[in-house]
Amino acid sequence: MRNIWAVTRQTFIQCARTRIIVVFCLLLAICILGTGFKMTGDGTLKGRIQTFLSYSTSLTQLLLCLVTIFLTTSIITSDIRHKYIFTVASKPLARWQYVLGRWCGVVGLMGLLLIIALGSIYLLSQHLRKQPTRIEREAESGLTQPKKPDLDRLGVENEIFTARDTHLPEPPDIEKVLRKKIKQLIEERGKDNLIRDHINKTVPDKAQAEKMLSHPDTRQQAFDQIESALREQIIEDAHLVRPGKAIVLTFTGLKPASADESLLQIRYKLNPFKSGKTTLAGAWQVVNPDGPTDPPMSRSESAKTTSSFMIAPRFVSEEGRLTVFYFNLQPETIVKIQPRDVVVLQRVGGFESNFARAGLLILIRLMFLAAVSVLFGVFLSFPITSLAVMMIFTVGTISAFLHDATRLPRQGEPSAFEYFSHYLVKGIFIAVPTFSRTSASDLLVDGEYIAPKTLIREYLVTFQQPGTDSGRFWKTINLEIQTGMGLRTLLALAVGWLIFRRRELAGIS
Amino acid sequence: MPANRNNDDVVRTVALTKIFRDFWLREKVAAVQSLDLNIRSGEVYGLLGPNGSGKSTTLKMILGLLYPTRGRVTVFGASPSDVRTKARIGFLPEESYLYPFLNANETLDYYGRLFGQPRRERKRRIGMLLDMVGLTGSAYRRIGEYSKGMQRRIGMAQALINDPDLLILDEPTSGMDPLAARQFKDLIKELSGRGKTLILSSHLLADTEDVCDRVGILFAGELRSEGTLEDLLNRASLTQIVTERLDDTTRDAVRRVLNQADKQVISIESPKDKLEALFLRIVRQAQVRHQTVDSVRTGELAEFLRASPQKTGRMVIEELLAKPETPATATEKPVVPPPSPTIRPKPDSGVIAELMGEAEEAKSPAPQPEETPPPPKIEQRTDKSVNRSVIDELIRGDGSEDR
Amino acid sequence: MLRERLIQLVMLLVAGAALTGAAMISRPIKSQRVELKLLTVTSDESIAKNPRTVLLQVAPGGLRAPMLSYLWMRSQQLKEDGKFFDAQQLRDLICDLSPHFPGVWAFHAWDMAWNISVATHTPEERWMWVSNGIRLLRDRGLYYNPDNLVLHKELAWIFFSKMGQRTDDMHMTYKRRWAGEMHRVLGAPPFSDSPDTAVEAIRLIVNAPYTLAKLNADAASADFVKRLAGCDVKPDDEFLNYYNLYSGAPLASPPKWLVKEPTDDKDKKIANLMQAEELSDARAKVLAFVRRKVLVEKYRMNPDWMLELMKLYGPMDWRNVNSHAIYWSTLGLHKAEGKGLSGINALNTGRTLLGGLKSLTRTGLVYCTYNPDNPEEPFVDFLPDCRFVEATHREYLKCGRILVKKPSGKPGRLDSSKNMLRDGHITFLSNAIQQMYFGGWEKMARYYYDQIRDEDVLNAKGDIYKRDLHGFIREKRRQSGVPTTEMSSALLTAALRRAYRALAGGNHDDYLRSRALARRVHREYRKSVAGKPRLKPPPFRKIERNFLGIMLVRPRAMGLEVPLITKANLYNALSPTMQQEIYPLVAERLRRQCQAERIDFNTAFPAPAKKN
Repeated sequence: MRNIWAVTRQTFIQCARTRIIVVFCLLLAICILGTGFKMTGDGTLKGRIQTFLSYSTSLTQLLLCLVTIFLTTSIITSDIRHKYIFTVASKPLARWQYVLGRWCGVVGLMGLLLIIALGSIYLLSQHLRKQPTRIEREAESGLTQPKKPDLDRLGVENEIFTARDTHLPEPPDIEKVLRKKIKQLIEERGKDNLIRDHINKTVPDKAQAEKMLSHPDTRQQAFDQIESALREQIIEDAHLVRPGKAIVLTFTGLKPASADESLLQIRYKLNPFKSGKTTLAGAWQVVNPDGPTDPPMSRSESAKTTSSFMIAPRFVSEEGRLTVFYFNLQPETIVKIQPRDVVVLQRVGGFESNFARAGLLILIRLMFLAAVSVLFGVFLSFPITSLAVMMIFTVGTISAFLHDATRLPRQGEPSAFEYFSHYLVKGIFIAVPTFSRTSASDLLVDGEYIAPKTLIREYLVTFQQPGTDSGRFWKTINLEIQTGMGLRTLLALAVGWLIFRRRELAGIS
Repeated sequence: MPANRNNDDVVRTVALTKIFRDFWLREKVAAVQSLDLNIRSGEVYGLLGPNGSGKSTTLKMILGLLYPTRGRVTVFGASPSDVRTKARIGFLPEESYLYPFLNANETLDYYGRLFGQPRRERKRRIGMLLDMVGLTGSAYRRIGEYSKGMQRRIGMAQALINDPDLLILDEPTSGMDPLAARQFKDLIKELSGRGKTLILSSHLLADTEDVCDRVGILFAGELRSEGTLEDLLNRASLTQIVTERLDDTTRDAVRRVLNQADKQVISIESPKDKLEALFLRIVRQAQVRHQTVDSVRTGELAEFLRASPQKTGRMVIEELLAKPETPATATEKPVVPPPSPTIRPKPDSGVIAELMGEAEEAKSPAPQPEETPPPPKIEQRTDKSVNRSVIDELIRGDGSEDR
Repeated sequence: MLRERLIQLVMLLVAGAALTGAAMISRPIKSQRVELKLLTVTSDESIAKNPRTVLLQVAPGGLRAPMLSYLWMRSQQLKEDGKFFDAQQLRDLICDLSPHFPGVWAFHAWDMAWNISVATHTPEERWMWVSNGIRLLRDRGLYYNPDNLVLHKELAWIFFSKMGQRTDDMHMTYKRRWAGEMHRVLGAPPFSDSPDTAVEAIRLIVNAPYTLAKLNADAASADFVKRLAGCDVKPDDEFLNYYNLYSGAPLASPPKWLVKEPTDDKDKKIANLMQAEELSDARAKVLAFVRRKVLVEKYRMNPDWMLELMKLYGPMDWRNVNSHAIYWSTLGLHKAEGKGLSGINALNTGRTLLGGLKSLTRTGLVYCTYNPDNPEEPFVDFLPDCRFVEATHREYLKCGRILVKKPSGKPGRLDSSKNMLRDGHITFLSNAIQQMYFGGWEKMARYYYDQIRDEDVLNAKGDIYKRDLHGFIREKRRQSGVPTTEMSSALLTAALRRAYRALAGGNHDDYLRSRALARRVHREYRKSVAGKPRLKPPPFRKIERNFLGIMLVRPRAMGLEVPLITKANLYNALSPTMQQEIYPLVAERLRRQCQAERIDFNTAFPAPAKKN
């Protein structure tokens, strides 16, 4: 343990004495101060703080990632290239201790830099928070009296300096609807007729069809097919809001007004179904199942664009339920609402602890990159190692884009190239983590709660959405199980150690 | 631990073979072949050979920096990569592979930490070692700014930080001026006197000759010859008489007496100084006038480098140190000048400058052995056919085989 | 050795060949860059003016394209996620990276004004994004591409369609905001039935000096500027704030009783400068100079072009967004003339012009009332304005003639099938005729009715056009299915509404004309129901009093939005007799409203003089 600490300490000193770190620190300071004082966002205070948080945290992350890659790579490879390792390896230091010590040193230094950077970002954001909004400025100068609520201030306090958990609506009970529908169909037409129709429709050959009809197994098969087609239909229907109709979304597990007074936010995205309309007329109504109801609020919405509005906490019932109606007021266009397109956000914690967790999200990336740099650094030269790690970093960063770009087309048979690129990218991301999956800066900008389970996902393994009774409903969403970056870090370190252990440190001399 | 310090083998290699492969895993160079070595506790063992003969490779296998292709190597009865083994080894590489951005103090502190030494002990040892190698005044200078000699000294200090039982020195005197080399050799002797086992590799035969108890001569990866210096160099068939200068009459008389005893006189001549001895003598005289030094060792041997219970130990060293200045011979102790480590020597005569230059160049063409005597009895272990002429050839071999 | 030399030699030759090749194509590339206007760094001057743009052109080097792609993707992704905090900066950056591609400017301006704006749900945000779109095009896109038709068309389209039409549920916000901005710069045009009055008002601005030095050449102006400087006021944007606040100019300032007396010395001095009678000439000159300056520098508008348009089309009120739609579309067409007008763009731009003119006939008359709660968003009423019928008619004819022109170059007949605009033209004129008829411009209505029927003009066939004007109007009314009683009452109300809105706005001519029309409608109706006592209306005076009562107390009952200040203006413009009649009816309610809005009731609605 002592000698790991010795290497860690030594790494710390070594990194701190390189020029590159000074340059990066300077850059970091310029970025943070520049974004804090120069960027104005969309002109609102909320926009300014969001811009600041977004740019400062992502630039911090980017710079720290780069410096991690270059430092780790350079110290490890220079140890070998300049043969410093001869002296070190002839001391009672196991190879794994060296690997771990080096990694710990870099991560420690980066952690320290991260704390300093995030600390300054935090202080600056608090400074910005104290700036007046436009309405406050006007009120101060006595020009106008604020009559309306100061949406800017509300936004700053309720959408940024908070930690809000996301609640999805209760999924509809597909199986129940299915059973009802099947029952209805059987009553109307009789099971035999249903099966007969289905087989006749799918099998053109009459003799074959007869044969199938006579066999109980094939009959059951046909019935299953009817059922699953119906299920698909119902799932599809559950997301569609036809003109003049409404969809009811129930959210549960919220905190009642008595427990939390802060405003809730509903965030949604509406998709015109098989239509190119860009604006959609609709209305929203928020209902407390036990109490007050607001009149429907009609709005014209921008299609396929996330929109939101605030909800007063009194609409949450004592059992933590909230019902939301969406009315489609379009004369013709059907609106499609995907399962994750409507969410309710409610405050569950403070900004500070969330900010700290965002720091952990950034840290795990640095840890991973340091580990990968160690892994390659123990057997490759500096240029190759840094290039390789940079590639991994870049690919990880644009993972969302790569996934989108190589998605298999929904219609038609994909070409060989499409298959190739699709599976190639899938293969790559078995090893390379998707950095873009959880972006600390995006979460901070939205004041979204970084749940322990998010951290677990990033550090250990992905837990999929817990299956509900109508599990099939969720299966339409991409189901993915992935190891987190923490596990990959450990793996990279372990592989690095294995390679390093077998590595002969002295070549021909 | 002390159990191993008796006559047990500290390092043992059995049929040790190292073959380097190229990128395509084709066998390229057989650097070491079927090497059997037994290095006993407390001895100073010299690995001799021209550049590229496999000395370094052997040492690196002993250190666990290289893995044997075939054969086995044990150090203190265990694998060289065993951490507990390494705790007892000190290693001075052929060049100073030390972090240039650390100062001497930090360097020693780092390596001390790697041995898990407690803080207080580390501080004590660092102070003593720096004092010993005369770098106390430069303790806070970055090693990158050190001269080559200073780097060797701090290298030596780091090799001694753990008070090793086995000290491995790869080309310890390479790049040193003769004075420094002399002091280095004295240090080696002193350490040996304190019961350390030392392995040193060198292609400078004079170095080896002065300090080694036993040497092995490697060529092309094979051990060609091995034995104690006594065995290897002693010409039992000859007798040398050294007297005051004889006039011709006396010479003839001596010749006659010998002839009567039926002994043939091979040569009668004035003995010549060894160049090294001459150099040392001149420098020492200069030092007395200028009191400057750039030496390996200026201070007292670090006290923690513990004495061997078997050997005369500290008393011997003190005795050695106390010896008055005598005309230099090959085995003479240098005078320890008053420490003033940061000032580099300023030889004032052109002769010295010339000599210095010669000493620098003397690295590759090894000093020629004495004039062709009849072949001595050599204890031949690995290759019976090796004879003196082979050795001559080996020794003449310059850097041409250096890879 | 020989081999190495050989390799060196070959490499040298390859390098030489590559260099020669590069040198050979560099000249055509350079000339193409100039031709396609891909050069930004053309002179030291341009670097000094736009260091950022020049830096962005040069610094990223070969990374400019990937950078652009990334920024573009991010901007679209953020938009989809409903995050707009960064939208404008990203778009600025994208445009700065490719300043000479009009499509890029057009796309992003459109994206902000049309897509992002509707994704927000407060008037402030909406207006912010629409004006961001305008500014991107006007202030920056047109700066780099001054002659580009597409950019002019897009800009005109935002004014015409986004702000001018009613498709956006917050269109009134845009109209009010824009009216507020322009009112601040230009004030209201003087009211007069003669179009020349408004033109003359603009001519003052056109003739104003271009530079401060020229302004100072006039001794009185120089003195005024000096006095302003003594109060730390420069003759620019800031001057307008003080002028509008303190001058009490009826066309620019809020009602006097609403303006608080300045308290500190500096403001007192400024107020004095703005009001002093003896300085009025110098003040007017400086005002014209400042108005010109702000128009040119902030709104990038050319007063000369504005004047030309007013001479051509009529007394356009620049507080009306449609005027700006016309301005930018005509300017675009003008600048692009002779530069290979691409058909579809020219046609669309022409349509915007026509649409703007048509809208002016419906909304050209603007009444702007100061809004003390939000001076940037005044209360605005838009009323039909027959003065633009002629311009629209002429434009229709012009376009129609182009459409029917024969390949030989000879003019064709306007009623030929090639005139795609003919139906629209007839519909427009029919509506305009009714509007004029009920607005009291019967003579004008008759003229256009003849134009519809004229064989050489539109040559409209059909039974309805065989009647005389009255018959035509009656038939049109019948077709719309409104019974006479309701029709009369609606007409009466509309006329009264117009009359009193005009009175409150200070437009006396329109007041008199509209009130006369209301009287006539009342008289006619009374006559028409003479035999049916049940339907007999109350006397006009009573109707008028009731109407005023409703307008002052609860205008919403008539579907009107009348702000308190307009009410006060209206009340104060009434004849003393009418004031006496109405005061007891409305005083209590108005007092309460004044209290709610923290306005001194007795100042806004002084009690009428006692009856003698």
